[in-house]
Amino acid sequence: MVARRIARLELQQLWRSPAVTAGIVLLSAACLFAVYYGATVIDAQRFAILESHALQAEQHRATLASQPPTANAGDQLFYLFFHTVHEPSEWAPIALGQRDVQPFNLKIRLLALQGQIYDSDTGNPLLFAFGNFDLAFVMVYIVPLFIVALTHNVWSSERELGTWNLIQSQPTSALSVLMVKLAVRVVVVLAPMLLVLALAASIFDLPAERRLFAVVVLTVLYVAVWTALSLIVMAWRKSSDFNLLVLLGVWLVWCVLGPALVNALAATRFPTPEELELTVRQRQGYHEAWDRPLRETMNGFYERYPEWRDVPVPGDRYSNAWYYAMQQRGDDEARPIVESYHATLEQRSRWVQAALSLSPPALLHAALTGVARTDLDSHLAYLASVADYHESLKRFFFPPIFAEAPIQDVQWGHAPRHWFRDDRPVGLLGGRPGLTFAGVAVVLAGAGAVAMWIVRRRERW
Amino acid sequence: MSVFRIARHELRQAWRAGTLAALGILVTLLLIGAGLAGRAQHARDQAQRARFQDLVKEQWNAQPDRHPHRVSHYGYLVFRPRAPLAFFDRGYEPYAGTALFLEAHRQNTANFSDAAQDSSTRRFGDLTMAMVLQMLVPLLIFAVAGVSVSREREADTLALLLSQAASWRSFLWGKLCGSLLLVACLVGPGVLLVGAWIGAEAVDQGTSDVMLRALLLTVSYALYLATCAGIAVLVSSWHSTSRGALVTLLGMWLVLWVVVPRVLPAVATMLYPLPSRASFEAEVERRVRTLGDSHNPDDPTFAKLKAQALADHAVTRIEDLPFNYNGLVMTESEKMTAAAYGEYMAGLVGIYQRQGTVVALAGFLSPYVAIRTVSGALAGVDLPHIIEFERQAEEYRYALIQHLNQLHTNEVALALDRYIGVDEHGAPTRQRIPQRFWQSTPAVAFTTPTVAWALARQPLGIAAVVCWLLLASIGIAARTRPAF
Repeated sequence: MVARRIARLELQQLWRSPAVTAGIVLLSAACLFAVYYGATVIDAQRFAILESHALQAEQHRATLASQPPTANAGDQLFYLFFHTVHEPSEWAPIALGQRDVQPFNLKIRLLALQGQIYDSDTGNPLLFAFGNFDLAFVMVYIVPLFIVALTHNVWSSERELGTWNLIQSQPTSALSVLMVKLAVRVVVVLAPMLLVLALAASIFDLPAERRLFAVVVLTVLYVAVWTALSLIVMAWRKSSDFNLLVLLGVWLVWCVLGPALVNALAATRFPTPEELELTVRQRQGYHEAWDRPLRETMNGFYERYPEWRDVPVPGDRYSNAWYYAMQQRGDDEARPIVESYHATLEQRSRWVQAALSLSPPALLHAALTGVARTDLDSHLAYLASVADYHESLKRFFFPPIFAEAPIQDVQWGHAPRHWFRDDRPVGLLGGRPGLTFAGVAVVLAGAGAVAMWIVRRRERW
Repeated sequence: MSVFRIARHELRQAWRAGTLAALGILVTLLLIGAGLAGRAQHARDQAQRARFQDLVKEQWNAQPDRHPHRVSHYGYLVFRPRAPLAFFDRGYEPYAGTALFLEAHRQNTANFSDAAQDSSTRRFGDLTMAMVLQMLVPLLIFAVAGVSVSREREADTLALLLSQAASWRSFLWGKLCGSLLLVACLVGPGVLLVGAWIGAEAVDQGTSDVMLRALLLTVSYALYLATCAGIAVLVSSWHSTSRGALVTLLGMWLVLWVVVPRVLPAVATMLYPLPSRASFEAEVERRVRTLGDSHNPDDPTFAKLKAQALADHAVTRIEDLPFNYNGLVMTESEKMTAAAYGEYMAGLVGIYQRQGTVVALAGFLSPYVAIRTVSGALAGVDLPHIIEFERQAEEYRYALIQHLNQLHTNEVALALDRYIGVDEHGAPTRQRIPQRFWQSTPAVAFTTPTVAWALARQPLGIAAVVCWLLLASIGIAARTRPAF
């Protein structure tokens, strides 16, 4: 009863403060803009994907139509591009992650794969470097500042204004007054967040499943982390200014310095010279084949595709079977390096995740991009699917290539198509980063409770 | 009381509080750490790229006898050299491609940007010396200098000071000088260290241009930090409580240093959207398709070229021409496709530049964006430098391919310019020309533009930095007039 009255009074007080209302309006506006911006980025990508289907059809039509139907089909394959699709998840607009800097719509030819899958989409490095204003950014960076602004002086301001003694003289427990005040302030920040999430869920048609649950829980936990931190700082019984500076210092270390340090260390610890080496090897492996015995190249090819061993390939002239066997040689030469390249990328990503345990905000960000499937893992899974697709295209086109079939004999419309969506099951709370984050959050919340308990005993409330 | 004494008082007070020493050590350590990490990464990347660039050159020279058109598909690989001062400011380099494959018929874009291979944590930014100076030091300046005037007012010492012969004017200038001295103490050791480091690096690289860049970087950062101190004193003088001044400054830092830079890309892309790579390339391909197929010597588009060549040499058959007609077709078609690519690329680069202008203009809104623009230009890591690399690479690609087409025209006989059988290794082949031709091709060499070139491309950024300095100075000058 009393608690409810205190809560109502506190809410009224907050509502009357122009700074607080302006802040909440700004926060809500920032969230809405972030959702809108995320949606425009992902919509543009969806549009590009849709458009690419038409572009592929147009290119294939134009290329094939420029030749007589009796022309060699294999000759045309040099020109034909096949578009691949990394479909964004419904959650991608919420946390854009690396979606803007990683290609999502690679087009490949039947040529050596390794020379084709590391192209980036068009994009301005100048803008990439500033980062994206998505909901994940608002949550990770901005929300803590609001919590800090609203909670750092819950107790200290009462002391500074001299009203604390008054509260202590009341029959209601001072601790519960403090807690109610704090709870009201936390709810004031949390409510717009959850509202925007609900709004986003309805706009983007987010199914009410594990991922929605994960994001809601992570949001609440994140608010809990900062509230707990505020409690811990409060327990020192220092001035409002001191509390503010300490909390902002933590924000600076967690949100800015820590992740930047992790990035610098990761780049230093896990260099990837493989990217250059695989490029050089692939090119050299393919082009050398032009100066090597045809039989040798074909034998290398048969090791991977023994089923073609008995099909004759002309030895004294150019043929597409030989050409694509040479391309295959490029990929074969690069293969060991490609494997170690991908291993290094995964190693680095794992190391970064482990190092992030020191920065809950970065951990939350990793969890959110994990849920949204906009992180490196998803990109690597997409690249793997592109490699499989390349393989299936080769298997589809080898028969006409080896038979030197004319264009009219090929079922062009039946060529495999590519479409990838990262549908790997989402772990509890979005997987490892989410779980680690939850662990850190629980520990901090516990520390906050302990801090309050100590204060209570010390102050004899 | 003189300006000097007030400044000294300010400094002494900060020194006694102990915060100055602690923060100074923190900044210096951060600068050293960021510098060491940046230096190590820079040296390693540079060595790596140089090693592979040399390897590409060796492989090029070691090519056996080949048909020239074979070689133009073999092409050339170039690796973007890191800017000399990129270890200080990485700028936009991590988001630009590293390896660029140069080949006949098409213009590729550089791939393997550092950022695309990284997890999303990358977007929290890099810890570089530039980042420490651009972002963190202003925050510390705000925290330390933001209370300079308001504290005196709060403690009622202001009235005392003003009654004791100190004019409000000299008091405010004194506070500004004191704050500047504070900043100097805060970052002085670090900046000296960085300066010496960059200087040594510049001497190492032995070019006066790098030294000039380093010098101008030092000057720009000094002006920027002085501006921040000015803003802090100004805001402090407006507030009656230190808390009010601090909250205003922190809010300002949050909005101008954190939020505005993030909103920028959204605004720039909404104003000037980019075409997707697929649609951009389809556009170019559509154009190229209308130009005819150079791999088909009977292509109708090339009929005119053929008639002209035959008429020029008064012959009726291409077999009677004194050169290889196929090579001529290749030369002509490369000219046309390069022009088509050039036109569309210019359109794309135009959009990048307009987006760049939006960012540069935002420098008038946020001092952080302003210094970032200027620092990127001086360190050689901004958009114009990235575009310039691609321009030089394309220039080289075009010259190389046309050189090979020339060899195709003059060194390969038309009659042997088709699959004529198997070479001594057992590979089907057209006529090959001796490897000495590859060895005599000039290797790729990139030249870093001069600092004058770099600055001329960022007039808005420079104007914004100067504008902020003027604004802070005028603000303080205006503030010195009325007392309180």
